[in-house]
Amino acid sequence: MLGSLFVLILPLGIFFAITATVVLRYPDSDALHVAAFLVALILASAAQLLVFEWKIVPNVIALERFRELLADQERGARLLVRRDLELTRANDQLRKLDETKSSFISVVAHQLRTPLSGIKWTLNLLINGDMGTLTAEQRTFLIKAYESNDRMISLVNDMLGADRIESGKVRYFFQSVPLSEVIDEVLFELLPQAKARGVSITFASKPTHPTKVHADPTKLRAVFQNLLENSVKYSQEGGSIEVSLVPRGTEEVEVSIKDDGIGIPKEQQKNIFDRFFRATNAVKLETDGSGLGLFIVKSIVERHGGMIWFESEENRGVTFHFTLPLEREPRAKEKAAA
Amino acid sequence: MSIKAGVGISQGVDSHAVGANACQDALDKLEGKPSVLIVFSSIQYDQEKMLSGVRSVSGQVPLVGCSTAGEITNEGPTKRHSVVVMALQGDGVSFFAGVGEHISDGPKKAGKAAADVVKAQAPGGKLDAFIMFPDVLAGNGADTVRGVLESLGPDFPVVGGAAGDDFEFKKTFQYLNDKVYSGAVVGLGLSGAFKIGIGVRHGWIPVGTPKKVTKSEGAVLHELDGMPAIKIYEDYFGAERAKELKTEALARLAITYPLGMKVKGSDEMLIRDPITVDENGSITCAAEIPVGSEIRLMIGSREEAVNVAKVAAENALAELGGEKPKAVIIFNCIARSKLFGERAGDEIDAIQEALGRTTPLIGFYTYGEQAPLWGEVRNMNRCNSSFHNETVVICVLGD
Repeated sequence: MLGSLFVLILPLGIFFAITATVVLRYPDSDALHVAAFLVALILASAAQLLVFEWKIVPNVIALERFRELLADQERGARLLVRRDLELTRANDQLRKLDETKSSFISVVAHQLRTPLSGIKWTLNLLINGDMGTLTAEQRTFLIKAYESNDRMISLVNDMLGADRIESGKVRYFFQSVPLSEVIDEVLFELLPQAKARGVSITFASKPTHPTKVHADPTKLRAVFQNLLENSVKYSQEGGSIEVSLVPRGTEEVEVSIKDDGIGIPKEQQKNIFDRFFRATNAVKLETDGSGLGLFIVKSIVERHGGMIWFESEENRGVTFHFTLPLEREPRAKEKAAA
Repeated sequence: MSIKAGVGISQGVDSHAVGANACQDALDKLEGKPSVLIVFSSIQYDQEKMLSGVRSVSGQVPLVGCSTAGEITNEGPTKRHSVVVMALQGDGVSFFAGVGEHISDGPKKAGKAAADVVKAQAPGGKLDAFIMFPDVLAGNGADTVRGVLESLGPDFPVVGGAAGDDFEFKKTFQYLNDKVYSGAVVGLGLSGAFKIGIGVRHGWIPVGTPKKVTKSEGAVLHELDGMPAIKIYEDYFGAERAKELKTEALARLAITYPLGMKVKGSDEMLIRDPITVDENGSITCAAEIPVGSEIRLMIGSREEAVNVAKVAAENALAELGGEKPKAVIIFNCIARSKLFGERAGDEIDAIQEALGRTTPLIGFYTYGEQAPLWGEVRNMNRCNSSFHNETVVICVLGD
């Protein structure tokens, strides 16, 4: 019966690629009915449709989705770069303005310094009685003028100092500096100011204290002057200030200056080292201040390779800590050579 | 075995005197006899006179160098035109110098010739590093690098900077011993007991989708995805803003948002700076962009550029394996100098923070930098020396 076998092969394909076939075998070709042929055809088409849905449609959808994502990415990128360009240009303008402002401050401060020094010199002559005898009242007023002038000079110096830091003009001359001596000198100068406010300052130099640091002595003095003046200025009447030194390993020493003054409000602590920033409670006290002292201090400490930080609570004082590199002992060989 | 260096700088009017003073300054600081001199000079000086000034002091010591778009020393980028000289002394290190001429006749040939002549001087042809100063106004810089690598081997660590001409883009000069060349590549080969560290960073990251280069010739990028190349800038910034690329060479927009090219063997894109744009919208870049490359717009910031300069310096230092750097050579792109403007010193300052402020340092602003991708020199298989743009390349030498 082999000659009468009828085989119907229906290809299942997608886009002209044959993916499968449906094979119908009839033992007798005469028995092939149109109806059966149609049923087979429908079955094959349905199967083809299923394969199409299952394989192709998700791919087409995924491809479409991918294209959309790319388009989104491109739109996002365009927005991003345009905003970035606006910000960059605005930033450039701000930087230029900032530079103009800095050079303006620098010029003004320089111009102010000479006449202020002249006033200081003249007042000094008057107070010393070189220009004739003064009444007690005249003397008191002249001393007040002298003090105000001094404050102005220190303000101008701060402004120039900050400007030099920004423009990178500060030169450092590092050498071996006896730390305790620097602190003692600054404390000695501050004593009258502290006494007037009934503030006590304790610093006991211990033999265990590291003696010498690797620093620029003038800049180091400025660090202590700024921090200790602040402590005295913002202490409560009759308050106390404590200066301590703790060696950290063989390389560094940590200096701490603790007061029990007005402290720094929490929300303003992050800005305290910014230029021209003054905490609101300090401004309220109506004390003098340029808002540059801590900016200068931070810059000096960091230029020495140290770190500065603080702990504070409003009305409960502040403790500033900073580190300084210790002067390295010359090695035995170098000593011998020396 | 040790490397010592002294860096001299001089400024003034008389080219001969400026050259002589810079060299004397370098020799005074070296306090010894130099093995080789590296000279970078502004084109404001008569090049022959300047070089004869240097030679009047140095005598017959091997000398290499080039004209620049700005010189760099320990004091930062020089504020005015200057001549800077590094006198290098290498006890146990040999230096060999050579030149490949006529880049315009074939940059690859010139690159190979320079490397061949340097290699031929080294005993057994053994070199450990190669510093190059090509003219890229005369021909494709990437091809010059290929020529050098053809001679030295595909994974050889090559570092260098393309000569500049104070941003005029007309004619640059290369120096070898007593002679001033133009359209050439000068090379310096090092061999012996020393360590070299190379740091390579740019700090830009890609944004948007990649675009395929469908038409280009050398450094001229004609079409991206079948459209005029300028369209990439017009699409991102608008036609009005993109106009500045047509009116100004190496415009601000091009420096702040350069193009990035994907390269095999590196996750970081190679930067390509658009220099000029013609009326058809074709962009001429500072280095080749082959057809088929993927291009993306790059975005960055001055702050990040400073940060990566420090990272590059740290990377270079790390390759010295704990040894102190004895000499630093910086190849820094002119585009970065333009980007930073007055504050270009910040970048050099960041580098010095990592490498020490007193380590003798010389460098210049280039028209393209040559360095291994990512600065890999220890893993020779990944070395892949390439031609970069808007990138800072830091080369440190140690014992």
